[in-house]
Amino acid sequence: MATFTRPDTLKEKITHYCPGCGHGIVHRLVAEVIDELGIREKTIGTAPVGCAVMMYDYFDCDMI
Amino acid sequence: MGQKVLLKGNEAMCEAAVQAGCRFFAGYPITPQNEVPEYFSWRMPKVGGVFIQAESEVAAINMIFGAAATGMRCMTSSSSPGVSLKQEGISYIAAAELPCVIANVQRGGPGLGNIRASQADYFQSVKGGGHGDYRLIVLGPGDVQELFDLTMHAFDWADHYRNPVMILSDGILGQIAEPLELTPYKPVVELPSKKAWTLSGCAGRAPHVVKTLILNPPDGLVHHNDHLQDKYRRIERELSLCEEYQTEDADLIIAAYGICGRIAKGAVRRARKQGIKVGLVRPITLWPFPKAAFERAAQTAAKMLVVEMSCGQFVEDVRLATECKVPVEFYGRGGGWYPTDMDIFARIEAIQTAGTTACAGRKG
Repeated sequence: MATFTRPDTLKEKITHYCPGCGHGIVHRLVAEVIDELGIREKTIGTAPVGCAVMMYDYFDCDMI
Repeated sequence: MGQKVLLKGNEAMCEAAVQAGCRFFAGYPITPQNEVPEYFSWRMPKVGGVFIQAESEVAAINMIFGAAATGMRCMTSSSSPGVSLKQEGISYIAAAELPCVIANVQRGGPGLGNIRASQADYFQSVKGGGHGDYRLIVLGPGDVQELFDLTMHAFDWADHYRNPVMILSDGILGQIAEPLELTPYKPVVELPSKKAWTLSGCAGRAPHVVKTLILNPPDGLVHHNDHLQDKYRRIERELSLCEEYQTEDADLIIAAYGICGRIAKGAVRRARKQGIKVGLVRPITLWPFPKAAFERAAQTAAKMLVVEMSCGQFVEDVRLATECKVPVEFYGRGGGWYPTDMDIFARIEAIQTAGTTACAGRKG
C-alpha cells in the first residue's frame, strides 16, 4: 500500500502560496523526482522571479 | 621577471584573468572589446576553463551570478551600452556579495554612441549604475601593464571583500598594443575560504542559499544594507590607490585617470620642460576614491585642472574631495573625444596667463 509522505527534498515548512495555487504541487513533483534520482546532495536549485522565488525556503538543497 | 610580450590591452586583460585563475567567462560581442571574448574563446579551453558566448549581455551577467555563487573565479566584459544592460545583474551580484570581475571597455555615448574611447561611464561605475545602495570596487588603469596587473589584483580584491570589481578600461586602452611583462600572479591580499557560502551540493552539510530578496523580518533588508555599508566603509579605509606625479612643488595639479591620466602626464612633462610647475594626481582606484591625495593637493596647489574624456563627471568627485579649498577648472568633452598632451599643455599655458594674479596669494 502506498503511503503519502513528504519528499525528503522538501523541508517541513508551510508554504506561503495561496489556496488553489499550483506552485506547491509542482514543488512536490520536482522534489519527488530529485528523491527518486537520489541527487538531493548534488542539486543546485534555481528560484524564479515571482511567488516561487521563495522556493529556496522550501527545498532542502543548495539554492540560488 | 615575467616573460615580455606584445599584447593589446583587451588581450592583456584576458591573459591576466587566466593567470589569476579565472576559469569562467561569459560575454556578448560589442566593439571595442571584441578581443576579449575572442581571446577567451581559445584560451579558456586550454586551461580547462569555460567560455560562453551568451545570447545577450543580460544572460552573460546572470551566468556570472551563477558561476560566482559556485565560488569559481569568473568574469564578464562589455562596452558601454552592453554594460548598461548588465546593471540589474550587477546590483544582484553586489547584493548577494559574490566576487566577480566586470570589465567595461568604454566607448562614446550616450545611446549607441560610437566606438571611440570615452570615460563617460564614470558615474555609472562609481556611483552605482544599477538599483539600490551598493558599491563596486572600480579600477582605472592607465596603460597596458597596469591593466594587466590590476586585473590580477581585481580577482583578489573581489574574493577578499566578496564584492564585484569593475575594470574601467576604454577604447584606446583596449585597442593599444604595448610591450608587457607577464608579471607572475601572486595574491595581494588574504584569500578567505569560500566554503561557508558556495553552492556545490549540500552533501554532508546544511543547504546554502544565495538570495537577494529579504522580506522577513521586516527590517531584515535594513540590516543587510547596514552590513553592506560597513563593508564599503572598510574597503574605503583599506583600498586606495593613486599616483602622485611631481605634485610636491606644483602650483597647478592636474587630476586625470585612466588613459587620460597618461596623456596628462605627457602634458606635465612638457610643462616642466618649460619651467612651469605642474603635477598630476592620477587615481587608480576610482572607488574607493583616493581622497587623501586630493586633500594633499588642495593644501599645496594654487589651482587644479580636471581633464576627463566626458562632460564633467570625475570633476564632481575632485571638487568633493578638495572641499572647494582650491579652484578646480574643468577640461573635458564627450562623444569619443580625447585630448592630446599638446591640448592639455595649451590649457596649462592659458591658466598660467589668466590666473597668475588670482592664485598668487594662496602660495604665500
